Amino acid sequence: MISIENISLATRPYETQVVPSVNQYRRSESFFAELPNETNHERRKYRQEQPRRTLMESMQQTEYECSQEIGEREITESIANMLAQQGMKSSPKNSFLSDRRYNQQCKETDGFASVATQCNSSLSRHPGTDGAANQCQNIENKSPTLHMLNGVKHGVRMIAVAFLLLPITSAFAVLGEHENSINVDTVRMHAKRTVSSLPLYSISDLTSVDGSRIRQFVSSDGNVFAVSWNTMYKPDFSKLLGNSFPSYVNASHEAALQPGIQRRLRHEGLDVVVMSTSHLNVFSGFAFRRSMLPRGLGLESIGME
Amino acid sequence: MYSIIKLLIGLIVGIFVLASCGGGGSSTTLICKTSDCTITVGKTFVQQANNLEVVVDGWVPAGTFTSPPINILFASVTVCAVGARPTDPQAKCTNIDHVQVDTGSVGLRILASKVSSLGLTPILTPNDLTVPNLDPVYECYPFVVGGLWGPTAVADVRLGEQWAQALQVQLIQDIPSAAIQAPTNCSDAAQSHILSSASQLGSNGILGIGSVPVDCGLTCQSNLYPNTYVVYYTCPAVATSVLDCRAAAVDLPLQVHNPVDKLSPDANGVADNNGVVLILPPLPVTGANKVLGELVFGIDTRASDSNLRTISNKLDTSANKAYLGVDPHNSKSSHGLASYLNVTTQYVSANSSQIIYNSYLDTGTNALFFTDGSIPLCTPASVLISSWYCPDSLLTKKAIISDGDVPGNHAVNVDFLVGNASKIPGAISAYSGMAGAPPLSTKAASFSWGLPFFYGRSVYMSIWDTSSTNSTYSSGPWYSF
Repeated sequence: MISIENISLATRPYETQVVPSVNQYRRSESFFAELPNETNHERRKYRQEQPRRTLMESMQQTEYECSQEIGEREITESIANMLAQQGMKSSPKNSFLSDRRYNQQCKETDGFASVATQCNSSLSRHPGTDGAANQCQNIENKSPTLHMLNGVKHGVRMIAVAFLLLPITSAFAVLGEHENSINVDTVRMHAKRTVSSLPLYSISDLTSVDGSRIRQFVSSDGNVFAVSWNTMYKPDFSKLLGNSFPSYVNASHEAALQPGIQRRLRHEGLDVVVMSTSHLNVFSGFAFRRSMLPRGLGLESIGME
Repeated sequence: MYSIIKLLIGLIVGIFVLASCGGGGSSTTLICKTSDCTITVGKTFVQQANNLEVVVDGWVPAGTFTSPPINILFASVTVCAVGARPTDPQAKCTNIDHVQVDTGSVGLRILASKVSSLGLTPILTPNDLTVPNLDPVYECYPFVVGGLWGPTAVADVRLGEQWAQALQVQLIQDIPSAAIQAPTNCSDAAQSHILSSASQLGSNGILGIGSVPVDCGLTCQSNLYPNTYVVYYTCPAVATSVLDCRAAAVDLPLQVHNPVDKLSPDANGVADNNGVVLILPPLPVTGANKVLGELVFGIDTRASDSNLRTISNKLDTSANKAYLGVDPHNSKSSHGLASYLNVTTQYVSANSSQIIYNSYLDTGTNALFFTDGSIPLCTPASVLISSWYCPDSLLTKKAIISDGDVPGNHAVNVDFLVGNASKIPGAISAYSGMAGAPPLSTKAASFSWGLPFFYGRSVYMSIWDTSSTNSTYSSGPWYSF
């Protein structure tokens, strides 16, 4: 049985140790009330930019609706496929966007094109409110295959737009913790979450807009016994590995003594096993806790793929 | 007695290599002193208009490593203050030897102390959305183990006789008294191993010439870095502490660039900036002490021309090209980021057949890493060493490399060797059979074709340039060999 849900709420701002974050500024009516690393200065700045916030909100709404719709349609399709295999017909789909609007708004690359269209139309209504028009152009250009490159030609700052479109890595429960932490950890923005139930365990699969994917393997008692990742840029391993992180750091001390670039780490601890590699900007790997593996589970079930 | 046997083996190997490479220009030189031999493989480098000498020479910077450096590819680069060419021939320059050649990363990163006398121009960017102040850009560039921290700068860089003008580079912070040491977030990204000296890095820098033009991309145009470590920072020029640094949004033109992508056109307007050809000689099965090779700039940009002093980089029109995946969103395939900027390797071992999406050629990885449960691992002297393969005898294995997004497309057969990693003589610095395994998992995780893959081959590696009018270079990067 497959179920898909969308995570759209931020429960606490993302923290880095570079800029002290001000955490007391909680979610209000606006998504943009929640800025990461928010300082008083930034808060002032965004208050001064109300028109932009409005545009942002409408773009966010489009993205959100599309992700909901895409999820719903995937469910509908998979159920239909399942039923069709058994010679049965499926019931009408359960979705809240019309086919016409879905095709217009969502079909192309998770709604980027529609967001760009909306960006352009909003610009025409509020000229000058959102800086350079090429921000819209840049969204249009943000087709997935051009991810690394297209901005070279344009060279525009798209910080504000980026708040919406770029930083979409979703939350994840950490290795060794209960799956409930999937929902209470750093859920900044929506990412598509797919849960697949298998006889011995379930897989919670989080995919974000840049293609980054984190999978958590959850045993029947609800604990995350393994994680695997394929992410654009290096994921925060302390968040990924939880209290297994120190063991991983210790293993890396020995690896760091080797000459040359270290592009892979294999750590086989008594309990924690980690495999980590990277190539260009993509980081991949998996980790599991031997002590928590469901009885009867073969290790071949846990891979990076 | 032992040294005599070693000498004999060396001679036999040398003769074998000479015989097997007849006419190719490669040669093996044996230099025997009273107690030992050194084996040098490859032809003497001749500087031409579009090549760069590369070596595997086992160079060890002052410092201690737990294992001798094997299969580390080095080149020398010349770094100058901007304006060195063509406007200011008197501009300050410095030559930096033993910079590691790395196709698994992008950007030139050099120890800051090596260029401190040049006064390179720092890269500046607004430190905030609304404040117009420009602050120096710093970068945290993490590997899987360890990472680099330091400011970015613009320099004119000479590779052989080619110039990358106004190239964005990173200066690796190796000055202990500098006020701005790595932020905590960067130290975490490097698992507390900020590589800040030649001895920690194993080189004087890294020449990253991978398959794309810039080192980060769109994500670094915002300053958010959600759930990933921060890459770019701004630190005020007057900063007294790293606490003054903050995550920065850096435009693509200001990000650290691939030096090859920035190579300037010559007087005839020909730019050798669409990729490289790495040419390394074959090795004796017992390894070598020194390997001489060359990196040729450009693909299909030059014919061999003695007047123009150019080396041909023509690719046979029928040559196979294995395309790296460019589809992180599963539009064409179902592997997403697992095949993004990767090719596919199909590997058949004694007990399984594997299709591995996470697969790439990488001069910066010093061995072949793959899974084959039928090959014995070395006796686990430590967590790390246990990951090397230690077969009783040298094994020849076969694999098939094909496209990343469409496995099976553009397939090409590859033979490779797996030797015993515990029996490599101490003086050997280049060894074809260097191979290791990922941890216990019969599901293949990745196939890393490290430097051993490149011995005995001419490997063409293109750079993905979406603005190119030639679809061979705009549709995605590829390997051909």
